[in-house]
Amino acid sequence: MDFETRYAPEEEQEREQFRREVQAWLGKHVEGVGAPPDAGDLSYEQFQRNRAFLKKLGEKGWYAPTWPKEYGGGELRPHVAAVIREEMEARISHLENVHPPGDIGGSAAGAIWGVGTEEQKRLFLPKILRGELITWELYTEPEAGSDLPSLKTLAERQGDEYLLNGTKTLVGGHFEADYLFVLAVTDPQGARRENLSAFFVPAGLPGITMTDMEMIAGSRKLTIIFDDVRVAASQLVGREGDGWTTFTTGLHGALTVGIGPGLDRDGRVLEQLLEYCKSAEHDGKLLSSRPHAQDALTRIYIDFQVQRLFRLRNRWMTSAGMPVTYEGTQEVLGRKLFDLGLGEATVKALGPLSMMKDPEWAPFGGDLEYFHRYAILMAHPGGTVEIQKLRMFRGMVESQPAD
Amino acid sequence: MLDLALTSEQELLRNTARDFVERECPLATVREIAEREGGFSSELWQKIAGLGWLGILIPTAYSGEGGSLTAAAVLYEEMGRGLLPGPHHSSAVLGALLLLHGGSEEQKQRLLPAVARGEQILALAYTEADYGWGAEHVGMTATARDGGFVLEGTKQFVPDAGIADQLICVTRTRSSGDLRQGLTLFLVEREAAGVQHRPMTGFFGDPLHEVTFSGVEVSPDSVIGEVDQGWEVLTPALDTATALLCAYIAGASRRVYEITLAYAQRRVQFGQPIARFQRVQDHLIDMVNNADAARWTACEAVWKLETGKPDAEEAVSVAKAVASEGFYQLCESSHHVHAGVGSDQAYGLYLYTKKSRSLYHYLGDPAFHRQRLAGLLKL
Repeated sequence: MDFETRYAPEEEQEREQFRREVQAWLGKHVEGVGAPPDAGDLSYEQFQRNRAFLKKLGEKGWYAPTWPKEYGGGELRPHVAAVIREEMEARISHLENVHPPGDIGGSAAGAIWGVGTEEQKRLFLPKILRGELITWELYTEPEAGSDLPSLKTLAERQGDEYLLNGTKTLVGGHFEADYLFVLAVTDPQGARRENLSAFFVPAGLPGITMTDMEMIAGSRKLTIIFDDVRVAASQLVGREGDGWTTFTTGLHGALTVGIGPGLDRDGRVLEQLLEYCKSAEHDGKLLSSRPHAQDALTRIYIDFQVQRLFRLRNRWMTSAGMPVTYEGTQEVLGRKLFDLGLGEATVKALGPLSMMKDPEWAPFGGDLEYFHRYAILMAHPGGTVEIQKLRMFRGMVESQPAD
Repeated sequence: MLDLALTSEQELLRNTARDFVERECPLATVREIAEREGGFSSELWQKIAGLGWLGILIPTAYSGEGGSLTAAAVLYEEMGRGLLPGPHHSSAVLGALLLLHGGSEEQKQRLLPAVARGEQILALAYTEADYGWGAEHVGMTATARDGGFVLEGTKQFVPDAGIADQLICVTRTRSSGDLRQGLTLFLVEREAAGVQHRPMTGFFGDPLHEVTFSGVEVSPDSVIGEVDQGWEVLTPALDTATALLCAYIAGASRRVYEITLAYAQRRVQFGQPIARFQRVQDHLIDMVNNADAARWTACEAVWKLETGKPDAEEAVSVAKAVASEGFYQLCESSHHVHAGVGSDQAYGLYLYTKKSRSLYHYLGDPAFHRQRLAGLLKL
């Protein structure tokens, strides 16, 4: 066994060579790019600056660096492509808010790539994969969250168009989108999962109304109402009635779009927490020396090691071509619970300071307080903890069927 | 380069070990041996010795197998899976490692080949009534007299003392200053004058003993390592032994999970297998999380020890805290899923449950290892 995460010498050489190119390029373009810890505090001007930067990144093929050049990617191998994120994380404050998953439209790209027509691929993929288009995903409705097949938004075929009516919620996204990737019902009488279709809808069509929601953390969310919105039939992604397949295909492709997921955020927050407790005093004693703080910190540190190892194991299983049954969901579930646990550890170790955003007193300018709120919010997207458990158990049974 | 697969030799060892344990020592046999006086089967012990397992950590120069630590971990995972009984961990791991780290050449030559052959059994006598695995918990004294030492005191919860030939006794030879600087290890024949032992009874997964030393005289050449410097010998040996114990726990945990999932898929109540009930599924999910966490933290600790990583001690404490807590909770979950039948001794689950309680504390409980971790992280 070898737990060493370093790359092979020849790969490392390749990465270092590429790193110099990325550093030089970023040196010219990165000035003024960044975001506050709380995505909700991002100004529109800053958002525009960031967006212009992401488009320049897209022109280089570095926005979706592992995708084919033909569709706007950079055709880089993953170990080389990872350098882009590493270098950006080192230079850009709160990259996750510069490049938020809600704006990327990863599952739209994944779906178009997987089941879209040749024309859709040619028309849309390069724009999504160069960061030119912001695409929001519209799945959840007021009455359908975990149970997506019971959606109510209706897409009724009328000649060469579909007439869209209904309400989507928890959508977005920072400020604005160019396209909406919508899952809607095309056959109200159809069997579950055979009743849906997916559409790539221009965001500016008449009849679309957007209302802000005030969330506890993260970028803006919206409720979007479709009132007799006429969508060209050519915007249907996949076949009519195959919306569930389009949706799941999209989810599978989503992670490889954009500059890739940031894997080290929880590690960074944990490190901040440990460092703060090792240097800040309370009643003349270091916070980290207090027994209850020490207990909370060591417990969460241990939990982090477990999550890190699950992630490492999954990376190895995937690269070795091993069948992954429950392990992928175990990682997702573990991460959601770990993030909540990390929030709890900050409360236990820091006391009321943990919830403070006050510029004078807050540890790390409020990073920890923000993470706490963010963890509560992030326990739900992509499937709640309970949904993850259902998925995970299906995988467990798959790996050990009944006798 | 990241590669978490076993080598083909390690795979072969795993398969051989699994076949052997399933064939020679099914749970009914584990139970039968546990009920014997002394909780020991010399027949099984001879077979284990014959396979070379008792010499896995002993270098070939001392007639051992000279196996890698990873190979030993593979073996221990399989032993744990089947709860293979016997003093293998006390003797071939802890005992052998203490001799390798601190023993004189004479001690090594005399004992290690015999340990590898199963002819000599070693057991570590560390804990006392004030139970704990820190240096401060050692109160039993050894006093210099007439060129030798006199041992006085009582050890408790000593695994395998009933069948050991030699006890490795941890004593206090200095009480002032840093308590870690005043420990001395002695090799004491269990049948020496003044040594008395009696089995301790209870819900234990191992045969545990109380050993009393009353004016036991030992010669200076029975010291392992240097006088007052026992901690230097103990620390590396305990770390390695703890990592292997974690592999054992990981194997046991996985087996309990598999037994429980199979049971839940088979057991029909309210007209359907109970595995369909989400409340039952929650227990099983907790179990697989605990089993996987134990396995991967143990494997990484073993790897870090074997490759001399500077944070290996930290990894060992993470692994033991995870394994102890996880195994305990996993057995709880298993009982919830099994309900009544899980408490029937004939079913065998209780053997794992007992073990989860005994190993919870053995070589340091989660609180001990979290505290050690706090020190290593400089909290």
